[in-house]
Amino acid sequence: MQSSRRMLEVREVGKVWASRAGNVVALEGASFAVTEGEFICLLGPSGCGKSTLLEIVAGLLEPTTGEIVMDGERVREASPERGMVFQAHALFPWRTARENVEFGLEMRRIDRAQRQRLAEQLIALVGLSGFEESLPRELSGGMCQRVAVARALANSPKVLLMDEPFGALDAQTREELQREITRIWQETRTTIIFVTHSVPEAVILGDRIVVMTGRPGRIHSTISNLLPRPRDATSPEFGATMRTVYSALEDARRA
Amino acid sequence: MNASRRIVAYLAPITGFLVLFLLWEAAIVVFHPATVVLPTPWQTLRALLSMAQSDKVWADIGTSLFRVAAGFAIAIVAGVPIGIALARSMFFREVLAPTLEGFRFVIPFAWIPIASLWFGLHESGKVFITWYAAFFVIAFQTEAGLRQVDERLVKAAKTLGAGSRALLRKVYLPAAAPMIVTGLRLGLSFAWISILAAELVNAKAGIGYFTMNAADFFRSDQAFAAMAVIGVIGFLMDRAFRLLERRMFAWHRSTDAIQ
Amino acid sequence: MRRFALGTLVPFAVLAAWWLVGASSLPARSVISTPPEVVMALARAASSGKLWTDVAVSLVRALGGWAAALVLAAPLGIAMARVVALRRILGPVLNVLRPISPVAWIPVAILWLGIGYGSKVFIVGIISFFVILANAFHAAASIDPLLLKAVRTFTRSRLKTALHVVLPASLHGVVNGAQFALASAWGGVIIAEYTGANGGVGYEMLHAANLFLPAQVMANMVIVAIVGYLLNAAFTRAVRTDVGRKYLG
Repeated sequence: MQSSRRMLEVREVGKVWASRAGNVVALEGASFAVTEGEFICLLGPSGCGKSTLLEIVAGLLEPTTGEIVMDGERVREASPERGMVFQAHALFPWRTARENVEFGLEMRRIDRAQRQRLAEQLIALVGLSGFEESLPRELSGGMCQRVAVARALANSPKVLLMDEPFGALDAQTREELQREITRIWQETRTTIIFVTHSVPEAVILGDRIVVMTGRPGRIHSTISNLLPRPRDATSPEFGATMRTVYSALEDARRA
Repeated sequence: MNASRRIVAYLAPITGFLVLFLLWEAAIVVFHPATVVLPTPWQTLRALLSMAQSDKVWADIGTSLFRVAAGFAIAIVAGVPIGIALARSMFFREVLAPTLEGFRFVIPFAWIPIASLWFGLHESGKVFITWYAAFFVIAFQTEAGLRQVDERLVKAAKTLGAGSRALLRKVYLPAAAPMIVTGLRLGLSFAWISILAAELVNAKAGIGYFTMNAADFFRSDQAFAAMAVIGVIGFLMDRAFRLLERRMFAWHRSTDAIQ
Repeated sequence: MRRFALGTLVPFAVLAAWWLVGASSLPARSVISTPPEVVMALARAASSGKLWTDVAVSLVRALGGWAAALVLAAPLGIAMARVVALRRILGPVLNVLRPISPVAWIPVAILWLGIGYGSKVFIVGIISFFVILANAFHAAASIDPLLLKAVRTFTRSRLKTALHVVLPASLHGVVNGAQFALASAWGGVIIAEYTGANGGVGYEMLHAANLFLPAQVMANMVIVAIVGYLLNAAFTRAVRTDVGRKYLG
């Protein structure tokens, strides 16, 4: 049963980049809240600052204005409580799949035997049993992203932040991984914030879809997605939801 | 690789040397230089053989190798930390980099008179030169290697709970390792090349000293033979290093396309 | 501004130390002199015109060897990277010749080519050759294979591929190599002159050292450093034009 606790709040977050050509406002007054256990999608056109927002939530970037509050405490820095999966190429190339997953556990000084056990469990969870000793260069893009998810989950994060993780993959793999991440989410009940620029992807995955405008990035609206899972991308209900989202996106683009 | 290709692969380098010898002989035939100026390949070969049977020559090679190893080792101990500091601290870079860059292009040879003065007959004079030859490239390559580390790896590590010491040890250094080790390889080769210069600093032994001594006594055949020895040793060191690199960095996406 | 100031910290410290040591004792004075004496020696050389002639002589030698090396090594490096046979044949030979210090070539060069321009150009050439070769090779070897595949859809002609793809792509490596080689060439010519020449900055250094005139020696070293710096700056300026940027990124 999903709890209704407000776990994470984004409060009036803004980000301004100073450059020689003048200030660039990447984000402006972004606010929304995330309930524990929900799967929320940030949707917007390229360059609308959604990745920036995600990095601010992670604690990798400092907002120029506003703050992120998680479990009542202000977020000041990156932490394993806010695990992150990047678009690509963030696996440590000199470490095998298992060693990558073990990285967070090493940071927590967990002993070797336990580390190995946990890592193997997680690799099984993401469906890569048998590939523990492979190096990233030997794995396909989709497999690498699975390892990335396992690596982030190793620290039992309170929230999993995913920045267009399937963007660099081909359509088949992308669909497969969308199913996989839904399954993993259902099994682990981790809170997930998922950034994407693809409407179908947002509707397949998200409980709620936060629509953002283009530069400067602002929250335009939030759409609840009440379609039951497993979601059928060909059903008329799905199409209706997509239409709602598309029109919101169009609206946001014009705003 | 099938048999015929393998034969060709072995034959090719030999062809190269053959061409070299032919040109050499041709130069002798055409220009008729005194053997003092240019010995014939045969004379050089004979000198090489007699050198191979001489214990002193082997000892000389050992002495030179020791001097290079010592300078190289000190260059690593000094260069890598300085490279790290240059990459991490803007302040450090602004203070030290201009001076280092300035000295970088002053070749080791230029320090011979000063080294002679400071160190006299002591071994450290030679080691100073070999150290000097290796130091700069090691420091700068280390810095460059650290600078080109993919920021995403660092971000990922931070979200996995890595503090700054863990970041350095477990992310920056492993990611920079290929470039750092390339720097080490280059440093060793520069140090070895500088052995001749180093042994001009009041040396009484060593393969470099042997070469200059032979030249002074007009034994050009011995000088050429010694130069060949220096060349081959340098070549072997380079090979060994590259083999090491290939083994250590199998995980690296792009492997050096050079031989 | 602040960066400039910080960068001069160490040089100033060195300068101060030099002055102190130089002024401290007579024997020290006769070996390393003191900054003011060096400045005077410089001024004298400049006003008498000697400085300019010396620098010109050395420059001609350095640039001559450098240019010759560039013309030989750049095409060879690129060719060796792309033609396997060439690489296999010449590679080992060059790899064995490379570690042989230019210093070793000096007596040989002098015996062959005398103590005038020829031997100096030869030494500088050897130094520059290997530097440019390595850089050109590396750049030509690292061309994105995808690029070459794409070109293959336009033309099967190897010559065209070479001209339009390989050459521009290798250019930055050649330029890099040329820049390093320039610095080495300038340093190398001084060394080559130091051990036997007539005229040139290096020769003057040797001459002054033999006459126990430390101020002159140091003055010449300062000249070497300044000219080296200017050469590098000029090269960077020439290369970082808009045209340069288009090809080199």
